[in-house]
Amino acid sequence: MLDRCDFSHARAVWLSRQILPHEPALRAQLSRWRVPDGLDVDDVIQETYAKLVMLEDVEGIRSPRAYLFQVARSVILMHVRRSRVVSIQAVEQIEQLNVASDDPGPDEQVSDRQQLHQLATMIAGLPKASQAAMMLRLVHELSHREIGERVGMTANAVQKCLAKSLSTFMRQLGRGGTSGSEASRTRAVKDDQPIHVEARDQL
Amino acid sequence: MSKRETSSEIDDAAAHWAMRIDEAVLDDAEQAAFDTWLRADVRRIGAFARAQAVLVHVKRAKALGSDFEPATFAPEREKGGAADVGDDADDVAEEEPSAPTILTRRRLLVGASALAASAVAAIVLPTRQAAARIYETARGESRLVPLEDGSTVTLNTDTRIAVTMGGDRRAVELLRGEVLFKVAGAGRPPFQVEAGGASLQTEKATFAVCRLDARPLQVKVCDGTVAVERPSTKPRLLHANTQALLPDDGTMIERSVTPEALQRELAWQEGMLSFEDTPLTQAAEEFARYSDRRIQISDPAVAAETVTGRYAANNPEGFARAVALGLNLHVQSTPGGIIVAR
Repeated sequence: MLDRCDFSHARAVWLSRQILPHEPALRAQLSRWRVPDGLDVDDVIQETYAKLVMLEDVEGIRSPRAYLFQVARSVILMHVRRSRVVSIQAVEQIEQLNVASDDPGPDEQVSDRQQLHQLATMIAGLPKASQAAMMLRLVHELSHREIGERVGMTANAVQKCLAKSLSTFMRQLGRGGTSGSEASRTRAVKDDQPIHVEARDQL
Repeated sequence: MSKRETSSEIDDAAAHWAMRIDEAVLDDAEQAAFDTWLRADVRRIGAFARAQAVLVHVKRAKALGSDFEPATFAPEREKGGAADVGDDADDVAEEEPSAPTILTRRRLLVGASALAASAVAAIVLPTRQAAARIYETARGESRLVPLEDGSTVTLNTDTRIAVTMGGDRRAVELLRGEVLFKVAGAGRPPFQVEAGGASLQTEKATFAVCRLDARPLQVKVCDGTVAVERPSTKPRLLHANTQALLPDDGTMIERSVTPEALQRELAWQEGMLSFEDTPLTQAAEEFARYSDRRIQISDPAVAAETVTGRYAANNPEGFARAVALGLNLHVQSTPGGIIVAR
């Protein structure tokens, strides 16, 4: 499986430009599609990216947005079929769901235009020390060790701090928002997760 | 699998690996650990791919430049996310005892270096005088400059502006290049832009101004209303979704454009150039603004072919190759440039 994964920079760029901007819309769609029990939206998103990174060639994809929605739907269908608990009706329901149109919604267009502003807001939302480390990494492209020397941290602590900030960005971008209220909603969702796990165990 | 790993835990681990791999190549032992980690769950593969994509996205923050001031963007986080931020700050404090103090002390040591300009600006806010401040970008660069009134200016490639803020003045002079203004309004003095003999004025608007040699001055209004005035003509109002050309002869050519077309023409904000049925020569000219590597087309039949799609502005080679593939052309990279031919 791993030898089929394309973790190249080129693929990451494609994912970031062609897929990431449509993720908030996909998440909204997924919550309408009602993901089957035992699976949450984040699981579907992760499995969807896994499929996208295993594609041999993405150049031929004319509408990445529609393709993204189609892959996500296939992920759900696979789970629904595999679980066997779900009625045939549920499968039919999901199969009948239209894959979204090619036109990005107004939200996506706005976020496209405001991306840099959004990034600035996201960085400004980090704790100050993380902000400093992130700026040194992004703007000045210093190594973890060099950053550590300037802010008085070990290279290891810098790595942890940057990874944590990246993880924060991953949550924010998925939800297409950077404002404080979005951030707290993200946290609320996170706190819910243990309940999901229990529900899963009962299945 | 008694306790299934949550997707959030997977994201955290994926972020760790993405940051680690971005820093340097893994050694053998790390590579083995990474492979083992990936193999255990397909979601990990996806989360890692996504973490890399997010990192690529976030790296565009480089365009914010070294005097980006996070504090300018900070008020948002006082609204609802304060608890969240406070929480994070606590977590980080385990690793970084009293970080702000350290930073402040460091700042004194480092003096006026780039570090002081960027990382510490959030802590020490200098008071600005009314003197004009110059911002510029090199060829291929773009940069977002937040202004103290809450407006932002994004500079495209090879651009130079002078900003005067303070008192009852909000003024920007476009010396060369292309900029996008997002003017914050509501009860502030009018925002003025001077460019090549034309004065633009607005209360609140989003608009782009392009001043290039050998091309007429161009104004595109996305949002709001902009008043245009030149010594030769009466003031005119440009409304949203309008584009105006102001050639040197003092005339003004106005036409309305769709929001989508405007969006396309402003794709440079994201480091992209977007074309729709654009002749290849014109696309090549656009790329020439962003890179010293010229695309050369001598065959007029090839030059007249049209291209559609979004391309990275700083990668003329990639553009040429992609186009060649679609139009069945050949690309040759030479030290003198990129030759596209049948």
